[in-house]
Amino acid sequence: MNKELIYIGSVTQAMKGRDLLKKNGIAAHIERSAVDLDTGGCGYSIMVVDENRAKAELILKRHHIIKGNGSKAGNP
Amino acid sequence: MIYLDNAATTNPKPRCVCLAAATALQKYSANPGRSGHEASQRCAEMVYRTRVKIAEYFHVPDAENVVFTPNCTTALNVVINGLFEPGDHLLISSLEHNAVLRPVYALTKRGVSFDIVDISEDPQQTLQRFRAKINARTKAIVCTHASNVFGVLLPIAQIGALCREKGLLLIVDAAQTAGTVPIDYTQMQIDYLCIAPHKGLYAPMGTGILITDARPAPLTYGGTGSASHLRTQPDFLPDKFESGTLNVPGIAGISAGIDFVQAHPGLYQSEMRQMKMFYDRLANTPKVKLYTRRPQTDCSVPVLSFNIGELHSEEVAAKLNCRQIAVRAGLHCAAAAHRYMGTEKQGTVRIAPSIFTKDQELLYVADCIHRIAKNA
Repeated sequence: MNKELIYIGSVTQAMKGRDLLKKNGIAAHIERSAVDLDTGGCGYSIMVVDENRAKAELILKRHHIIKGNGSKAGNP
Repeated sequence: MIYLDNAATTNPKPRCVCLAAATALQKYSANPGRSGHEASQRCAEMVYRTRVKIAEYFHVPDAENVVFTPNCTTALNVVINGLFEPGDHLLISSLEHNAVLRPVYALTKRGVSFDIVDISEDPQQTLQRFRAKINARTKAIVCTHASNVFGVLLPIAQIGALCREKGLLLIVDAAQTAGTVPIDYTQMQIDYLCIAPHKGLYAPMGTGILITDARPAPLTYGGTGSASHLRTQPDFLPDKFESGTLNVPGIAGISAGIDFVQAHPGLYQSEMRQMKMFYDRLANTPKVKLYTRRPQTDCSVPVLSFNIGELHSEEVAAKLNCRQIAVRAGLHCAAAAHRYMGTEKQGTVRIAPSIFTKDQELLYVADCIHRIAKNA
């Protein structure tokens, strides 16, 4: 299982997103994102396993925590 | 000392608040939302949990709508400065603190106009007066939830319903009510709620809360720990309004303050009972002037103003101070409210109890006032 990072930006949004995912049974952790000008500069990401990514993104979009595909995959 | 200046800030602060703020200086001494190390994340977690707690306490749908500010005045300035355009018209009440009056008055230089609505002790009359002054350009009602001088409580839920009916925004200065009077942000149909947690929530001074959406323009710009590659301010909450390092010990104190208040239900009723008792004592004292009807639950907050004969209020306060009684006199940063009540020359002496105020202390203070009046 690879771990994937969903880029969020704000630490508040990241924590809100993490709590929402946990409520929906998805294990999630917060990590500080590396500076990446393509994804929005410094900020925070929610880490999930790859098999949960699609469901996690759907939940986060539904709650307006992410808009489009503003996330990046990673395998930290 | 008998401290009755709790409308300025509550004193003493509960032990749990002192402990939370002091502990935060060690346990959370890192910058939240800026770094990935454990200390920063731990601090950010505490700040986030406090947002969630505040949102639940005031019935705000989302924790991201909770913005921390240096004080309630700053919260009001963010909204008042950030929402209006030339040509807009606002309504404010006749009991406003300068935290509302001054920023609204400053807007007149940018082409915004405003009218002052006279507040009655009859809530229905107050509502009718607001309704009568709404015109086609009116965009918002900006008003206090309760007078910081006379303790008159405004019918915010009804004003909220009026705003919805007329398509207006409602901005509420809850400096004197948050923590004392129940506030349901959603049910009362408030758009922007400005809070002074160091008063009714017993938090440390130098703290403020703004419940907001992302519509206002920011008042301050700077580092937020997010979207740092952009020259523009983030457009998302709460970062849009939280540039610079947060008051982490203060936020820890807010969290403890909410716990403290929630552990003491019936606080409002208890303080109102004390105010009624105190009012009855003063009402029977010759030369003592009172300016409102007997305090009434749901129409007043536990704040009371009085004067003795023609003595200046500051003189009375000084005499009380000699007896180790701390009160606030003068204009209370609310000259408009004093003008409306006809007390702008003399000011008033203001009494405001807290959870720590004992009945016998109030009886002693009433007795001291009686003696000062006798010799006046």
